[in-house]
Amino acid sequence: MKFDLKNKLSELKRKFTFKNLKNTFTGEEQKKHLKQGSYSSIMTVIVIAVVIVVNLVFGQLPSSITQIDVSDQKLYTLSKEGKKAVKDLSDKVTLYYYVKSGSEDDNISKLLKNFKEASSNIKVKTIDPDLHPTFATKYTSDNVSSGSVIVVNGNKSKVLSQSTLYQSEVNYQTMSQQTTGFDGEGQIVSALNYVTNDDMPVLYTLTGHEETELGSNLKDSIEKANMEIKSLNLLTSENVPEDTDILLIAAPQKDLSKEEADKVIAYLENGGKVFIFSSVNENELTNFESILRNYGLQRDKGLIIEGDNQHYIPKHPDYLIPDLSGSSDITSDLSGNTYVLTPDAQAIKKLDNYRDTLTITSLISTTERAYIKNITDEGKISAEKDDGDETGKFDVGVSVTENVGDEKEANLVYFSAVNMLSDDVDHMVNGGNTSVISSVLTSMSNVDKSSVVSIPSKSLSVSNLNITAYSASFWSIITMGVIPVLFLLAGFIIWMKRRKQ
Amino acid sequence: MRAIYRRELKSYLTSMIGYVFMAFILGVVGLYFGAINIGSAWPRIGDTLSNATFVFLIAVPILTMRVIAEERKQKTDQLLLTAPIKIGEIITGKYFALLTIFLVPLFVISLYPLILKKFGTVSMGMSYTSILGFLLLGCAEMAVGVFLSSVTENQVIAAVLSFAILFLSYVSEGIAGLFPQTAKASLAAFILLIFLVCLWIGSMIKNVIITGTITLLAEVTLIISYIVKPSLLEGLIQKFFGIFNFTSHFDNFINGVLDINGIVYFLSVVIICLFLANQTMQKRRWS
Repeated sequence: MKFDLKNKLSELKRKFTFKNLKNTFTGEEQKKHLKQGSYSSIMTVIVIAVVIVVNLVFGQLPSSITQIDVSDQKLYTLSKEGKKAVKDLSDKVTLYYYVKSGSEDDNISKLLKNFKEASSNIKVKTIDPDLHPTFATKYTSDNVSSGSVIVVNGNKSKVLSQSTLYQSEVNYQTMSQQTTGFDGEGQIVSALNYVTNDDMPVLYTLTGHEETELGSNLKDSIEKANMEIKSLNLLTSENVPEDTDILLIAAPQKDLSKEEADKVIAYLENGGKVFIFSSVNENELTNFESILRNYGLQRDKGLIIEGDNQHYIPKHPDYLIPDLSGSSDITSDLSGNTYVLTPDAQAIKKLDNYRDTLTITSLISTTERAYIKNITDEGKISAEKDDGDETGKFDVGVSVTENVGDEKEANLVYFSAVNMLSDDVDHMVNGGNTSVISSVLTSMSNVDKSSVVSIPSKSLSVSNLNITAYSASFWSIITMGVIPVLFLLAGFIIWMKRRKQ
Repeated sequence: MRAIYRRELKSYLTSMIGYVFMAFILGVVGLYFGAINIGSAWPRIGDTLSNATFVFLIAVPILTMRVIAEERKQKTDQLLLTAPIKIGEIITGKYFALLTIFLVPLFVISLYPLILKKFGTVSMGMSYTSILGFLLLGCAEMAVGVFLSSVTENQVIAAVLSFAILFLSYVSEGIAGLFPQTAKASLAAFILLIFLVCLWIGSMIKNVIITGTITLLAEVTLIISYIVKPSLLEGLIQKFFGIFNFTSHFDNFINGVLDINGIVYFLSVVIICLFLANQTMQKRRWS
């Protein structure tokens, strides 16, 4: 059949005559449909609308009411410290969640929502990098990856990438990265602190004498405490810069020049804070030691070996686990389960006579059964204790303070084991070294201690059950086999019975 | 309603189908429980349940396909429609019978955390929140099944439809990801969606003029809002698909959040589906 346009058109015309249109309202069948159908559709639309509104209303309620966290770790519920820190906020801060739509992290989204609800000064916005590709360039020149949180207050901002918010460790058995903790709350509170405070303490690290680099754990921890790390070359600068809050000297392998040592002492005499590490070293470090000597300290050339097997890493008696002093403010805050590992430490001794304005406090020390082994000319030592070895309780970390007038106080803290800075050593004591060093740094910086909020990262690991092979197979058989089969059997028997009837 | 409930429950308990349903759910959950919780000594039952949610995809359509479709096939629905009870009561009675059947395996599953507790520390709060989530998810999916069973008188079509819709809700997040985030994509999708909704309205009221006017009005409003404020439409299609995403609400329960919004959401799904089932049965009465 040929498609006849003319016929079709006239047919359509006939269909749409006034009479026909009128009929759609007056015809018997149509009337019924119109009445019942519109009633039904309107009812449906109303019911759906009401249900959606109810859902929206519940969605608007604060999540503290609607989302009850019954999990063990409470990953995204703010801790007491976090809530307090957020409440004290006086500036208007915006948290941008810079993430591709669909790949949001559940923990981060919920955490941000909780931050928003904890303070009216915090705004949270989600920005999609696909839609706003140049958004992050306002805040940093670095490449910002999707999943980052950008904390902004006026023109101060801090970018927290997803890898900073989650902690991961390398599993050496499988050689793969494993996520071990969620540090969202801690990092965001720290970033809030950073963007709302104008002056951040500056930590200078002395360079030019083959000093040891800071481990990445420690660096992260210092950055989380909002301290700025800068390096300092004392040869080229007139003196220690004025904005220095702490000067860190991490075990120079070559000696400082006389002028450099004098600049450090001059800085200390003006109420400076210096944090010194040293290591076992063949070179003569006369000028370096002159700084220590000026503050009544002297290091012993030998290596400390621990005699108490509860205080060293098995088979490594030079890897000491010394005691933390309870009498000093710096170490007394750390709880009893923080352990410090000081490999290859040297004994710190007080000079026989020093100025009586100096106060020397011991921070970390060995047990009574430790002894000092002197390094032989070939550079070897034996761990065996000989009769002539000096035995006793030795300090491996001390703090020296001196009142220098004008309400200023000089402070020198000296740890004799530079390996404390290394990540590997830190891992062996679950971050204990980093805690102690951070504690020293916060006590040295002039920041009001109460304003520094440090929220530890939350662990993601779950402790497994302890099931014996016998009970494992017993319960597996019960749940996988016996219970389902029982139900099937019951059904079968009833069905058979009914069939016979 | 009671009489309907009792009749339905009896029909499940005297035939194989109810027992097969219970055994199937318990079998799959038991399999994962044995592998994850017992085999790997994992203390959280939530991971077992979230792996086992696919049982609903298969078990729910098979259980619900006959609920209303069979009455229509056997023409017994004429009896029910003329009986002195409301259609709403028929549907809720049938639905509660289904729920009762579902509660039996759930009761068995809620003993499993107690087994695990013998072997170490198990968070009871988290375990039972997960089980509550599993219950709510099952309730919502069964309501979807009941609605789709009322749409057709062919049981197989009802089962296939339920499976398809439940499957779509499982993959709705993936589908949403296929669309670009832009306002243009949302505009295109919603133009189509409005047409579909209006097509349904048209089939209900069978009136060209009114349907046409509604369609025109809705489309024009959409296009005007696109021209005036395109940012309003950004990512809207993803949000729309999010409405149908059962899994995202269920995941909250698995992660140890007693989510009131989630409870409201699942109950809403149940209410809407049962209401729609009611409406389709009503429609048979007047057309």
